[in-house]
Amino acid sequence: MATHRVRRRGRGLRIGLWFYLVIALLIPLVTLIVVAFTSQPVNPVNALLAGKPHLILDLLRQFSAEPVIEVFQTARYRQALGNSIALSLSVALIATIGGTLVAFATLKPGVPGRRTWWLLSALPLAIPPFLGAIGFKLLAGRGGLLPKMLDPLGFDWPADAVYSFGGVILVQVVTLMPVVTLGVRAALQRLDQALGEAAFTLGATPSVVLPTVTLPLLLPSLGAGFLLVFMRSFGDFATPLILLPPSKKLLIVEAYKDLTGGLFWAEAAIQSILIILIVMAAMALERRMLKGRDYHSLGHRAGSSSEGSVFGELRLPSAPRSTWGERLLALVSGGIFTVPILLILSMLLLALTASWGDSPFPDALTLLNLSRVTVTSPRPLVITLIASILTILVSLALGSLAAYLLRRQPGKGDSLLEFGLNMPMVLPGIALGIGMIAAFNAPPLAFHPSAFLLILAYVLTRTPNALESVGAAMHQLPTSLEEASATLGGIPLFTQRHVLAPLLEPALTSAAVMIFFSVANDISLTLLLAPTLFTPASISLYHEMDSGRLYLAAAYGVVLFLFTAIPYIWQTWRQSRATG
Amino acid sequence: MSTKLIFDGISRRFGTTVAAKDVTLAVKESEIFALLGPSGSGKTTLLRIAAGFEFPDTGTVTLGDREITALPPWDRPIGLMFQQYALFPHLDVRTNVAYGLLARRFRQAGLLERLQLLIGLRRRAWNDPEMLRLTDEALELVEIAHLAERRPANLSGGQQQRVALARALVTRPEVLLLDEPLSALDAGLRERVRAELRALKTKLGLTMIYVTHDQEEAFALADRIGVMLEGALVQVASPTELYRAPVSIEVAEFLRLPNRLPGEARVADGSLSVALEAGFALKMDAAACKPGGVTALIHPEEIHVLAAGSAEAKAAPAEGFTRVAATVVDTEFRGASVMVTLAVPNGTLFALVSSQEEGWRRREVLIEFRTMSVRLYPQGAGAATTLTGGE
Repeated sequence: MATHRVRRRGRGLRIGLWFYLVIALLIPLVTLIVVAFTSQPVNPVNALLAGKPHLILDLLRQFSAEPVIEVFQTARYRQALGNSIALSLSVALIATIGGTLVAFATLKPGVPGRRTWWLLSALPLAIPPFLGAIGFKLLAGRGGLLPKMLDPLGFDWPADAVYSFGGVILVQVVTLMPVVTLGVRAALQRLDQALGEAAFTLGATPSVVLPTVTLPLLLPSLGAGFLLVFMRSFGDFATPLILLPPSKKLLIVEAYKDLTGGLFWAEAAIQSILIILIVMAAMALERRMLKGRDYHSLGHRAGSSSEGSVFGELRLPSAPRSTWGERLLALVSGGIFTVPILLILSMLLLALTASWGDSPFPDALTLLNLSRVTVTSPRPLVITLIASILTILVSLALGSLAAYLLRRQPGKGDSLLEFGLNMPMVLPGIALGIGMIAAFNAPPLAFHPSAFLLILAYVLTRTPNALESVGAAMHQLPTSLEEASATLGGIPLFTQRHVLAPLLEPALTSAAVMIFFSVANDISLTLLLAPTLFTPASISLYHEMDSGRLYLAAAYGVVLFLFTAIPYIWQTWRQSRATG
Repeated sequence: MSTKLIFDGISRRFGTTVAAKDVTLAVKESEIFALLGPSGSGKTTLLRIAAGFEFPDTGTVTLGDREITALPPWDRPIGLMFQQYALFPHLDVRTNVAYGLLARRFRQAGLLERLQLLIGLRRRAWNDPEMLRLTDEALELVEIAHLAERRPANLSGGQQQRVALARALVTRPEVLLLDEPLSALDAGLRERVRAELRALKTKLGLTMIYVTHDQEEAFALADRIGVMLEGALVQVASPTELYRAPVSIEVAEFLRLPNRLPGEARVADGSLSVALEAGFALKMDAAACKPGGVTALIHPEEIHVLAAGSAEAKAAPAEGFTRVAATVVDTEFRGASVMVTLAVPNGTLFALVSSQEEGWRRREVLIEFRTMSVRLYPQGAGAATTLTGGE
């Protein structure tokens, strides 16, 4: 029977996906738990595979809550936990307020420079926290651009202030804010204009509509944005690694140091689990916040806010070109976007600098730094390219396959499968990396250290991007197109090639760009898992920075920025051309 | 005419919902068969079983003399026109229409040609004179040859509909399934396309199964109509027969026939006396129905409206006619005809009369109808027993 044939094929692929999840996700997570409660860096699956099941029993006998209690009693860890939560809450709060203001600034017709703010609001998307932190250090840190320029003029630039929680907050706010801006802007545009107009006819003025209608309707988007920023900030390792002095504790940095500095396995594992639990809780909260709160789909066609009016506002003929509030919005946006622009400019200027003495400007400019990282010793960049491309290929294949199974051939256990595939998206690299090292450092699954394990970790954390992108596109694609192909005689392979693939191509491309960007700028997984012979450019950049070769570091930063900006601009251009 | 597509004892359930309940149906060669039913009645499930997207839990589907129950859709010589057309948005009109030919070619091709076809469709299609000819023929058949280079997004609804038809016809399917294909068109266009579909059937001798919930569309287009209610095929008949003699009061209700009057039938003096709750009685042949609770169905066009006091009204009713005094409470002018709402002693009746008549303009009237035209349905039972005969 045809039905049975189709189902059986789906089952084989499903088993493959489960197998992949067990190896790449479940074993590291289980190992983390085992390590946390036994202080032994032993992977129970290895014992099983090696034919020594009694080792598992030994391991179970050693289970005790003592290591966990000990960690919670240590002042250093308690302090780190408190700092981490306080830091991420502050970042999320500031980014939500700033992002919302910018979202309004990009839509309100009276705001001076509205289109510029809209163009710039996506710019920080091309600056991940890693590059942001590097750029910030190059701009304002010791030996950076600002002290170099200002000190000769007799102005004492407080470079040390950069190395603080304040510096981390600044970088994270600037780099993570687009999450809020784009989300709130889209939500604002989707709101049903009729709701605002109804409020007007009932006697509400715009200043009444904003707090009573607009903001309540935006609340789910604001909350989701807040939690997304919180999660990203909490899992961000790059910024504190680069900016935070050792005296200032953060959970994610302590976990890393415990493992690499002293092989304190249990402590590293317990902190990793704590990080995962907090991030997962935020994710669950975010899902709940968005669930059933989508006011946009009440059946009314939403008005288009981009046509020169914002939801809940009305421009009277007598209104001035710009109100004071609108000018203030422009000022705030300008201030916010100054930072990423300065970060990039300082990276560029330092990358072109040959030497810089005691004058406000470089003594001489050169292309040598740039040519050194691209032509003379291109190895790190080539490795970045290889790693990104491999990750893209495998992630897109896995993501498309999973999207096809989940959307087109639903079966038992799908929600768990989807959860397992999506969860690594929010899994902090340090936590996952520690789990992977613990799980795969002994035979027979001795993958660590190897390029294979690094790519596997990249794939695990980036496949959710592909699944989300392709899954959403497939969800919007009516099944009747595939059915039409089938009734016209198209067998599945033919249908997939000539109907699905061309229609999903934009989704695949955008996922590929996103994956490329995030792999090229990854530092946490890379620092933990990259073998000595396979070190990508992000590591080289970190090392150059660490050993004070700022011009070379800047050159790497510029190249990595171009790596991300060029595909991003190309894709945006293509999309805008496609939509006319 | 021989039979073309046979559904034999088809049942299909989705969880606890029964979408098809033991459906047996033989669609004849070169007929337009309409599957008519409200939404959720199972007509689309039956269509999808014919196309090969759904498979029955029990029963078989036979095409010609070949059983196709378990064949996948791509192995069936059956075309399908979708409700929203499902045109491939990324292909131009010509490639959309040629798609079926290319897909078939792909399956017959050797490895090298398969690879070529996987790489791209256009060149392969236009270098094959036979394929080009068939595609052009299909385009001309529905008069859209001039749109061949356009993308579906740049076509009007009616043009898209034609492309979908050409695409479904190009592979010369033995049966064409149509899933409410006119529902997306406006009223004027709909009538034109209906006429064109009928002409196409005559021209190509095509067997068509047409799924719709719109009885007017089914009446206008179909040779025969199958009515589906709650997963069961309850009546198969020609349009006139279905209209004149619905097999049950539920079918009459679905066809929106008004004047369904409950009452009580009693045998008296060898004839049947039906006392209706509306406040008047019918004298009918004893064979018309068993005694007991009944529902009487009076077609509105059977009712004549006579002005009270007119010569006609003063004369005694002719043999076999029933006459009742009534009051006109509302009229709905429809041009050639008028729908008249009438108050009878204890209820409401609707009469459809010619607008040229005079009676409906008055208030106090007499209504008159042939008693034989009334159909009686026993209450709480399935099929009707009537004088004017079923199948």
